[in-house]
Amino acid sequence: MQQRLSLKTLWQLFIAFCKISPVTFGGGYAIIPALEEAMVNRYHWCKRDEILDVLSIAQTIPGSVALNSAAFIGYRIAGIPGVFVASLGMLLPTFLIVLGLAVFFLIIKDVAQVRWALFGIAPAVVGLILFAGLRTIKSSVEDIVCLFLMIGTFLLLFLTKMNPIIILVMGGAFGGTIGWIKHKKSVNKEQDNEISRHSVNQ
Amino acid sequence: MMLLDLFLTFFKIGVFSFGGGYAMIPVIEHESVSHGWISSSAFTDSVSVAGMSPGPVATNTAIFVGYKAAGVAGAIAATLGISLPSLLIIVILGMVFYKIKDHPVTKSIFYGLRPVITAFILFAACRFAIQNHLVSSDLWKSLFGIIMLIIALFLLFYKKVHPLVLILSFGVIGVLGGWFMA
Repeated sequence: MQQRLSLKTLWQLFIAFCKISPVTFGGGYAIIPALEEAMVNRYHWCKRDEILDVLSIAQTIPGSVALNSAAFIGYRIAGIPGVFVASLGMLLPTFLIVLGLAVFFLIIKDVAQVRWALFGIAPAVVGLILFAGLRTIKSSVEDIVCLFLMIGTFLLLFLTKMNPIIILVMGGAFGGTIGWIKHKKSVNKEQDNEISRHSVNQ
Repeated sequence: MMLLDLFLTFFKIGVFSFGGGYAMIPVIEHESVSHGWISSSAFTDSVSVAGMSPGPVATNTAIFVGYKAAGVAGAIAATLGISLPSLLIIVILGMVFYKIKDHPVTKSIFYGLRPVITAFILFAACRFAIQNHLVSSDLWKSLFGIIMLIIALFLLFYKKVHPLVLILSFGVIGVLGGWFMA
C-alpha cells in the first residue's frame, strides 16, 4: 500500500489536508465528503470503501475523528513521515483560525453586545452538545446494563467532585468486564449448541 | 515550567479522549480549572468559541486554555499535547488496527465505554446550560433559554441546519434581544 516516498507526495498530503481542515465544523464527521473528494477522486490515494475503514479506526482510537483519519491516511500513503505531514496539514489551518478567534474574543469579550450574542449562542451550543450525545445513545445503549452504566456515570459526574478521568477509566473497566462476561457466555452457548447438534447428528 | 505542565496535562487528556470532542469537555474543565489556568466562567466562553470555530472541539478548547494560560506558546504546547497521543498510537500500532478493531476484547471494552462516553457528553451539555444560566432563578431568562434550546434541537434533528449557521443566527438573535431590552 505504501507508495514511493517522495517530497512531492508529502507536500501533496500536507496541502490536501490543509484544504480539508477548515471545513471540519461541528465534529469530525463533516470531513467525510471532503475527504472522499480529495483522497478518492482527486489523488487516487485510496478507494471509497477504504475511507469507511479509515473512519471506523479513527473512531476507535482516542482523539478527534478528523485528526485520526488524517494521520491514518498519511501513514498508509507515506509511512511515519506521512503521519506527521498529514496531521500538521490538518492541525495548522484550524489552529491559526482558532488562535486568532481566541485573541480577538479575549479583547472584545466584555463588550455588552458580545455578552448578548453569547447569551443567544448558549442554547445553540447546548443543542449541539445534546445533539451529539443523543445521537450516540442509539449505538451506545445496547441493553439495560448500558442504560444503568450511563445513568450511573452521569450521577457520579453530577453529584461528586471525582476526577472525570477516574470515572471514565472505572466506568470503562466495569462495563468492559460485563461486556467480556457476556461475550464468554454467548461463546459457551454457541459451543453447547454445536455439541448438542453434533450429538443429534450421531 | 508552565509550558511543560500544559503539554503533559493535555497529553494525558489526549490519551483518554475517546468518543470525540464533546465528551472531553468535563475532563478539560476539571484539569484546566484545578491548575488555575482559566476560571470556570471563562472556560464556558471558550466552549462557545470552540463550538463556532472549525476543527475538533476538544483541540479548540485546548488552544483557548493554552493561550489564556501562557500565550501563543501555551496554545502550541496544549495543541501538541492533546494531538500527539493518537498520532503515537497510529505510528506504534500501524496496520495491526484492522485486527484489533474487531477483537472480542476491544468489542467488550467499547461495549462498556460507549454508555460512559454518552453520559460524559450529556453531562457536558447540562453543565454548560447551568453555567450559562440557561436554567436559573430568573424565570424569563430560563424560559427564553429553554424555548431557544428546543428550537435549536428541532433545527438540528429535523432540518439538518449547519452548526455554524445555527450558532451565528442565535448570536444575532441574542444581540437583537439585548438591543430591545436597552
